[in-house]
Amino acid sequence: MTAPTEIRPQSAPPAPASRRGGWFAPVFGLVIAIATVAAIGLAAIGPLLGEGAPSALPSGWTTVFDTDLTTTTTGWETGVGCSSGPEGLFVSEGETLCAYTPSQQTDYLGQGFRLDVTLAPAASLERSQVPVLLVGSAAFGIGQDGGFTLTTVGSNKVSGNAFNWHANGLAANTIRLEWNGPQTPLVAYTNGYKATEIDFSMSAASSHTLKLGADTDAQALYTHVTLASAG
Amino acid sequence: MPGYPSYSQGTPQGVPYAPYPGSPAPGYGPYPPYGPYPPYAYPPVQRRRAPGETYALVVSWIVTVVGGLSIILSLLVLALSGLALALIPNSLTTIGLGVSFGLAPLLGGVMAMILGIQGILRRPSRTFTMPSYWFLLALTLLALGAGVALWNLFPSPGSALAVGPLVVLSGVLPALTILALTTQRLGNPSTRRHTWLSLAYGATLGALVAIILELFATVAISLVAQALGYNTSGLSNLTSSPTSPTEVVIQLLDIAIVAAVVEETLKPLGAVLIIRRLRTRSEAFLVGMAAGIGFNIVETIGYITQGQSDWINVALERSTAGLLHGVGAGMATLGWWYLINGKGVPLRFVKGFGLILYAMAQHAINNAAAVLIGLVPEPVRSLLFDSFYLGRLPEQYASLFFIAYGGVILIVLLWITSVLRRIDTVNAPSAPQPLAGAALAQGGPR
Repeated sequence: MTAPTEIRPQSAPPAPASRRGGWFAPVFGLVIAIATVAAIGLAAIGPLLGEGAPSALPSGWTTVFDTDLTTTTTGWETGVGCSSGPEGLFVSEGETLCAYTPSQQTDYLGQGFRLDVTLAPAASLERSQVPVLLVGSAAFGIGQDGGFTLTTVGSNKVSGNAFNWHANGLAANTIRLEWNGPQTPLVAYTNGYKATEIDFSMSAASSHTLKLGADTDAQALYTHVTLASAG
Repeated sequence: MPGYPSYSQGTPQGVPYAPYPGSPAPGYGPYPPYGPYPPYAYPPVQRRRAPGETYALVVSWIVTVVGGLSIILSLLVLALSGLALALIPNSLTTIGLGVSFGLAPLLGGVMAMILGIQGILRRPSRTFTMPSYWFLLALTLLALGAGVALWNLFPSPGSALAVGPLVVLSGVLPALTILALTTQRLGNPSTRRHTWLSLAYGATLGALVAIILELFATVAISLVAQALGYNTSGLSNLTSSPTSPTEVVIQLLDIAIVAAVVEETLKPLGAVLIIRRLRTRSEAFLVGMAAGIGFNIVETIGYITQGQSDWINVALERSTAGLLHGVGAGMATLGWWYLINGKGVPLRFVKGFGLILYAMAQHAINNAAAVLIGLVPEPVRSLLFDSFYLGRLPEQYASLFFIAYGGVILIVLLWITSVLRRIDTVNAPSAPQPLAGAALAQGGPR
């Protein structure tokens, strides 16, 4: 008969009771693989699920101008803070707005309008690019991170983040402001998808001027602008 | 037989016995009937609790209660996020906030409650395992590759809700790959309870407290700088390059020093809470890394969702951020392990504090580079901020610097995991060893 063996007491905290991993790792791998494939499929149909901007002009509307600002800025006010160059219409000073001078005499907006602008990649500027579009009594401004504000003269204001906005500063962005006339909202689109809308109206007495500019401490470089009008 | 009376079988012959009196002899009372034995209370067996078991029980209760609170708060955040999405439906930023501060705490809370209750019931926890890191790496490349391909096909992704799951997975998968690589290189040294709870801590409480402390620190720096007569506008926009020496100092102080110290102090705290239960250096490193991975997942999802249409740019740049946070938290926790558990280890305090300082320095170098890269002189500056293209997707060369830094940290990870595996293998007892006295009782060593 042998003496009972004395086992050295364990001074360290207890080891895991079970060293088996069990079913978890393979099941977890399967679930995350299915989730990845499903997520890719869902993202692929994302463009179909977004609220896109209409492509065709409503019947009876006409294009007022369709200008490549890298070749000409005719009709646009240049001077302090606004300059014309091979890169486009450059708003170099914050809180500056460059007017489309014919709009100061002629009402292109009162019955409905569609304004499309294209911006150069923000990385081409020294400061942050924060474009501001003034269309009659409505103003739309959007930051480099996609944060936007749409305001109208009746102190209506909508703010948010535009998902369809190139925030890396390396790709060009487009903005569309569209109003289909009385009793319809003013809708803002970024890169072809709806960002927001706001109640809007224009009276004969209100301003009909069209201006492009930049926000405080910011710049903006416009490369293309198109205006269509219902009037 | 003749001459002999026959005995009838079975019947006594002669005088029959008098009937036996039914009662004992007079003078003796009847025995009282035996009653039931009075209850005999055995003295309870006093099971000695293993060292640290009470502490583990208390931690399990704390984890369970905090998990419950986390579930309640996360449901509130998810409700608010849902409301915000109803008002502004196509916002990736809102989805990111909902995931980081709603879904992550919900999952963490559920996990904490399940594992905490198991701890209270003293159920043993199984070994923490992950799918093969090669498999997770393949999924990571699939998700990021799909993001690049989709950007090339549709530069404007349309619906944020549709893209949201891929955005989240692009932040989660690289981090899980790093965790899988680490646990598999270390030989799966920890339990599910320790590792998942540490990850949940990093993704919830660790991240939340870090945000609050860094906010306080930013305000404090601003107030001190203003009191000293400096312009603190550099703190109002920390994402743009500093334009003056004062802004450089302020941004370095806030982004490089404060963030590194706060985050590398907070991330290991969940693991430090249970460090007496962590048996080996490998386990300490893995459990600490899990906290860093949880922290990184929440932070990375927050950054990616700020990229809007170009979320894939941010996802690519942040693909190695799990190494920065994970290895940092692992190293710091290993430092704490030496300080608390390392009695008898040579140079214990040097190793302990050295590892914690390494984690902070590794983080500070990364963040300082983010501040200083905008100040690099020409022509290097132009080169860094020039673009290369993945198809049509533009990406700045500067982002390669941070990916390369992640590569350096990966080398550190491969090195430290091989060192830890070797040390723990050498130190691990192969079988229970009989004491010297017992060996002598059996005849002594042969």
